[in-house]
Amino acid sequence: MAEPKDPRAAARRAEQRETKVASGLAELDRWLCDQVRQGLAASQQAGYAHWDEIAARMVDAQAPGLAERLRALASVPHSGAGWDGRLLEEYALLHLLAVAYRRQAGLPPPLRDTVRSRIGFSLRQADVLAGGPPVRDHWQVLARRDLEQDRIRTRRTWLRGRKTGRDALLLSFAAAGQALDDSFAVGADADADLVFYPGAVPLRAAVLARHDDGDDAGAPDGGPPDGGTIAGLLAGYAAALAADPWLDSWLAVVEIIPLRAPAPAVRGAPAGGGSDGSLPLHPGAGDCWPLFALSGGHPVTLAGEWTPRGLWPLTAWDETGRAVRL
Amino acid sequence: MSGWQDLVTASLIGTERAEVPAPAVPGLPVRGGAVPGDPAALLLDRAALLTVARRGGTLIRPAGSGFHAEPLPVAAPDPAGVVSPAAARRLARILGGEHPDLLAEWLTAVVARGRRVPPRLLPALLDRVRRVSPSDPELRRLSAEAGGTRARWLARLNPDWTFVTALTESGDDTWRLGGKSQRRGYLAALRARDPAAARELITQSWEAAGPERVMFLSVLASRGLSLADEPLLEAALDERDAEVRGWAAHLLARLPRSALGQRMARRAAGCLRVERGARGTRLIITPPAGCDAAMRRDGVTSRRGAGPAEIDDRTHLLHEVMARTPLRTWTGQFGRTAEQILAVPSGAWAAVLFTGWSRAAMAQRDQDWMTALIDWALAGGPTGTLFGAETLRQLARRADPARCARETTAGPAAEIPPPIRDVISVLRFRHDMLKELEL
Repeated sequence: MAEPKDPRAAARRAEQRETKVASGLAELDRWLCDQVRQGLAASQQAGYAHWDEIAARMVDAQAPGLAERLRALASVPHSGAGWDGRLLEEYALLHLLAVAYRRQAGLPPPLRDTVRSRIGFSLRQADVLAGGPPVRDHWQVLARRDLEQDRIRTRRTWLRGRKTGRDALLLSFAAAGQALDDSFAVGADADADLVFYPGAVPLRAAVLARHDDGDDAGAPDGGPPDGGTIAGLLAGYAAALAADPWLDSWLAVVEIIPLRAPAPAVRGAPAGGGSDGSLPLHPGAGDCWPLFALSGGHPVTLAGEWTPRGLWPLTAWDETGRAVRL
Repeated sequence: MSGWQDLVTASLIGTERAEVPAPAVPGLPVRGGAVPGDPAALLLDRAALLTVARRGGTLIRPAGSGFHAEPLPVAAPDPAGVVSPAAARRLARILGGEHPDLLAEWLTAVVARGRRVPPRLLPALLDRVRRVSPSDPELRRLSAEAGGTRARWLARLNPDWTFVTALTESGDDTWRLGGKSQRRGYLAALRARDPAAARELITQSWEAAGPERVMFLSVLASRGLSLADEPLLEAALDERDAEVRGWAAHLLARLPRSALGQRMARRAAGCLRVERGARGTRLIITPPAGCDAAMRRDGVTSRRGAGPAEIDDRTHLLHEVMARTPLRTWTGQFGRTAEQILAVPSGAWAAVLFTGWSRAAMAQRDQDWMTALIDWALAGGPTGTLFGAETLRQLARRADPARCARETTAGPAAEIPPPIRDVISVLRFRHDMLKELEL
């Protein structure tokens, strides 16, 4: 995007967009209330068009973040037992977003930034890099997850700072068939300046500068991270949710033993012995056989994404301390 | 949290017909009573609040609190060391579809070196092996062996992989009471451990075995074949079952010092001779005139034709005899090395000689000949026929890649035809693969 030639024209465009988004969100909220008024039971018979239609209207309203969330909902009624609860959760959180946008003037600035980014007001990376204070650290590259939706591939790379202890999420995008950014290799450390996107829970970051030789990215220099407890993971997520109620994926680094029955799960295996409970693995992650093979019934350090449906395992460290992508 | 379920039920029915429940949220005061406004919006408000409260308060399920996840047994330690990281990456490539036919060689080399497969690759390995077997029971045995204790531990968790434990945990009962594939597994394991004991067991069981005789011979073929097996095999040449006879002849042809080898050498002796003429040294070829009962007993197959087809039939016979003839017959008769023999011009016969000698070299595991034949092919030898290309493909997968180092290290020129490029790529892949396993 080139610099706007005329600041007044830019301001006018921004104002027009606010108006469009505001009316789009009002429409979305009416739609959500209609769904709940008529009853969600009908959703199981509805086809994809039911959600595509309202999603398309959000695209017209220049709220792409909402459109994406809505399109993803079409599969929920067919996601097995508990689908009704999951659909209600998503509708309720969308409603909350609509209400929050309506009242954005009264929100603390970081929460307002979160609301706007979830709706789809995107910040230019250059502005983010210029705007925030850089955080320099030796970032452990702990996990990576590649997703593909609508022919766009997204790579989510999770980092944790050795000095600051901060978690960071790097996003990179590519068209289907094109290579994704490979400069942060899982298992390696990166000495880098990151700038966090503004928000109530600053997690997404952009890379301002690398201070190491990017070619060393493959060297497993760091060894396994300190595996946390399940209680610690959940406490951290709860605190983050209190600030950003829409947060639905959170870096988990835990010391666990995998369990098989009745469904794949993990049991906490704190260093001191005993257990602080169990967590389900995400049903979409499948059988997770490589995690079981790696563990052999022994405790392993596991990194993954904690989500409301369970833990999505991404990286485990083998007995030699080498990171293994699952 | 029954409060949440009440909200879900109300949302399913719809607020047109259902009351909006007022569930309690831990830590917040209960707000009952009438609330003005749209009941649908009220339901969504309450659902949002409870959604976040529930997500933030995810109940940890303490051990033994209704979440009956049984702890798994702990895998036994494995004295064998894991293969090098480079070798592990190579296995991942093979499992990912690069030269998948080299999996057995990779596993064989791992077992021979007393190493094991890295645990993380076991699920993909066991899945692959399950898919390709039972057409390849040897692959099952190799993967079970190379997978070590961790593979056996995994096999107890996933019924798809029980073949691993079936192969490694079979006792004497398996032989007496097991089904055919279990008996095969038992016999193969015994053959790997103690070839003579397996031969003894086969000899004792032969009379009563009936159709299992073919299975016996296939186990003999998979490992440890030696001249000590000859009496059993020679006797099997007179069996009624054609499949048994075919297997026996096939195995005896792999033993150049067997009586069958000597008989073939006599048949082959008159077929090739070196002639020094005015235009230089040439190989003169006279294919066998016909196929008699003794040749058929030794596994030679014949085709019957008349007129011009007779030439083809005799060529076929030559090929059959050469494939079973001990290779030292030729080096002895001509007083030349394999390389020197291949250098003698043979005109239009070259393609037949190439496949005949290649089959013999592969059967007899003769690395001198395999190397010489590959060199011949790479130097523009007679591999232009489909048959020749397939033979070359097989040679590249059996020849010792270290001895073909000259070819594998030379950069591939652009004008190389695809079959030759395949040979170079396979040899280089195997060369690196075996080197990594020494690390």
